[in-house]
Amino acid sequence: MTSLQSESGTPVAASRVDLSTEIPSPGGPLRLAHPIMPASGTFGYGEEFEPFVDPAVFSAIIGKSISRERRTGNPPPRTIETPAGMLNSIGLQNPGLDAFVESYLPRMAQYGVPVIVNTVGRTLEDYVELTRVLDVEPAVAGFELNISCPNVNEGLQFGLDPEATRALVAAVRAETKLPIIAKLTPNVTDIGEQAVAAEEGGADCISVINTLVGMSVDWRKRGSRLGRATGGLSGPAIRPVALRMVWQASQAVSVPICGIGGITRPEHVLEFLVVGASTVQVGTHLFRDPACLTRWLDEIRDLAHDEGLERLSDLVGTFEAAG
Amino acid sequence: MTGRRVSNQPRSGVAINAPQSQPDECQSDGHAKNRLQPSALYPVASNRDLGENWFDLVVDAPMLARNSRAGQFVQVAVGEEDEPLIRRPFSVCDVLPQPGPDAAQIRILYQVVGPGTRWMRSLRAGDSVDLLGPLGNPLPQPELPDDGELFLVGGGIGVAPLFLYSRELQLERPERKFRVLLGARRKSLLVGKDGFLEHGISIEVSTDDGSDGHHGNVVELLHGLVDGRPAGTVAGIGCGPHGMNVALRDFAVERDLPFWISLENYMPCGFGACFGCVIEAPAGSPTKYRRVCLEGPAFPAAELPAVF
Ligand SMILES: Cc1cc2nc3c(=O)[nH]c(=O)nc-3n(C[C@H](O)[C@H](O)[C@H](O)COP(=O)(O)OP(=O)(O)OC[C@H]3O[C@@H](n4cnc5c(N)ncnc54)[C@H](O)[C@@H]3O)c2cc1C
Ligand SMILES: Cc1cc2nc3c(=O)[nH]c(=O)nc-3n(C[C@H](O)[C@H](O)[C@H](O)COP(=O)(O)O)c2cc1C
Ligand code: FES
Repeated sequence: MTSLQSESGTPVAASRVDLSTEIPSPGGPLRLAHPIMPASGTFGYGEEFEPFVDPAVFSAIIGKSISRERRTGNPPPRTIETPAGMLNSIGLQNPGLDAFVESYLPRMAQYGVPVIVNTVGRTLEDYVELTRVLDVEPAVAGFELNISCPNVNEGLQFGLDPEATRALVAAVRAETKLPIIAKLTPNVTDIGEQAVAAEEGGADCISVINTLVGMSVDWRKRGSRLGRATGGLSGPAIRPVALRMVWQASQAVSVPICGIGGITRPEHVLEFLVVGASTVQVGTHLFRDPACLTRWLDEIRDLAHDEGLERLSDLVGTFEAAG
Repeated sequence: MTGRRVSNQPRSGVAINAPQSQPDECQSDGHAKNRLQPSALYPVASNRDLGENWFDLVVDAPMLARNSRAGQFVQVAVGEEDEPLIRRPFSVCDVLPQPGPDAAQIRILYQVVGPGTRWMRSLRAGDSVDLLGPLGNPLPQPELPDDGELFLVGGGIGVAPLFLYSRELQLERPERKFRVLLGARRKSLLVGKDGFLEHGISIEVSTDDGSDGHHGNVVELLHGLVDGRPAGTVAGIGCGPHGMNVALRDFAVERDLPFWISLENYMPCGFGACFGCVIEAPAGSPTKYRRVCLEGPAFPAAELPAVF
């Protein structure tokens, strides 16, 4: 692979590879220093990571889903390891909107990178109210709508029905000019259809995927190893599915895609970019290596540089289908 | 933009000391290739087979050793790359040569029970192991009157945190009377016993089959030693398999004794980020569930829920 030459003929330093990207929105683009964010629910609200890493190493931060009311979450056991992954049934434990605005948001804002709030509701009105309240908070830079959580009997219905998805996003759109990222579930037959519905509703970005519904069964107990029958599968096991869905979604819509699912290495970030994601989120891997990003950004610059890329974004959507 | 160290402490006030870069460790051990990260690679000093599937792992990790208190644990990245995916938590069993500013190594006493611990078994001196920690809260040192006595009750592998705890007591509270009670199914499973004896710590043991010490379980042994003592002169720490923890909780709660019980819940992250390790919080708490990794791993017996 040819390495980049500057005008003077010397190689361009890897440190000069431009990793920046943006999510356009009616209120103007959200500029990001690089494409990598933490996945909702795997990053706490940032403070849990402070002992290990400056949360601002991520280009934007996304905390666990926030609902209007405080949620206690599901009964334990809530997690179980599975081959190359894990199942969780956390059940959206969260402090609720008021406590979030009062005590969590100010702290998240201090990190100095954009705060994207992941919201979840039982009804369309819940999402609208969450957006209305949060939109006026200066610390909020954007929204990720969790219309896809498999561990509660709600939210998900929006993600399963294109009409409902379109109506929900449109209702939220009416409340904010900030970027809206619609987080889709993989538990559908046609991800493209869902992505189109979200785009038509006014989403600025589509994030895929949330966890895949799965089970872990203790046959002697005739029951689940989790406190509930099913849980959400995450980790490397779902990466092939996530790549496929990002690819399909990116072909169906023109808004940017945020790729999520099983990223555990810098190369995986590049794989997601190739199939059409312009940003990515790292989830389960953060449990194993909470500070991985302190190394990854340099490694990604090196990989991009070796490939002759000046801008990482040049890689987005370069996938060439065989045949 | 990378690498800025933020030294805030989490909301619970738990001190987590994660090394970001430790030049002293790089230089002192000659393992310059180990890039020390918040989850750092540490050289294995030894990994001894104690028999009965128990192993004794010693790791050169001055920063970890200096910062670890009894009751805290480290998350071990087991396996190559990400299989197994989830780190495995292990109590810091000892710091060598002794707790304090000269500490240079940490010891982990572990039992091989599955893929992660099988991988640990294969570690050799000179290999590197990736540890995150110390995590969780130190065990409390309860206040007792002069004639009071502290009971450290361990079952099986639960002995691990009690060992460092008794070393700390010896050094920091030489006046504090304490007894170590260890229980196991049979004599050969009373691993760790010799370690206490080497440090001049007397212990009492129980075995289910009567092959050593009291014939029965360790909570029964405790019963015989505690009953009849004046109120307010007994406190304790317990760590063992789930059944022992439940029996110990019931014992302590019935008698209104201040016992802390250390739990070994499944912990995907170990530092509070996933809400995966929760137990029910006592009535009247701000949240229904609380995180064992961040608020524990030891809790007052009276605060443990009916099912944990
Ligand atoms: C705070 C804490 C301190 C511990 N200290 C020690 C110790 O000092 N010595 C020791 O031998 N063991 C200790 N354990 C238990 C130890 O973590 C498990 O034995 C180990 O994770 C098993 O991994 P495996 O892959 O070999 O077996 P697996 O087949 O994965 O599991 C065997 C058993 O261990 C449990 N387990 C697996 N992973 C975890 C996890 N991440 N957290 C909690 N439990 C898990 C499983 O539920 C199962 O019951 C401790 C656990 C906790 C939570
Ligand atoms: C423990 C856990 C909790 C999660 N909680 C949420 C959540 O509250 N809201 C949400 O939108 N996604 C949640 N997710 C899904 C992740 O954000 C992500 O979509 C998924 O885990 C796939 O990425 P990964 O394989 O990198 O983990 C959770 C995932 C895990 C493992
Ligand atoms: S193990 Fe993740 S919150 Fe306790």
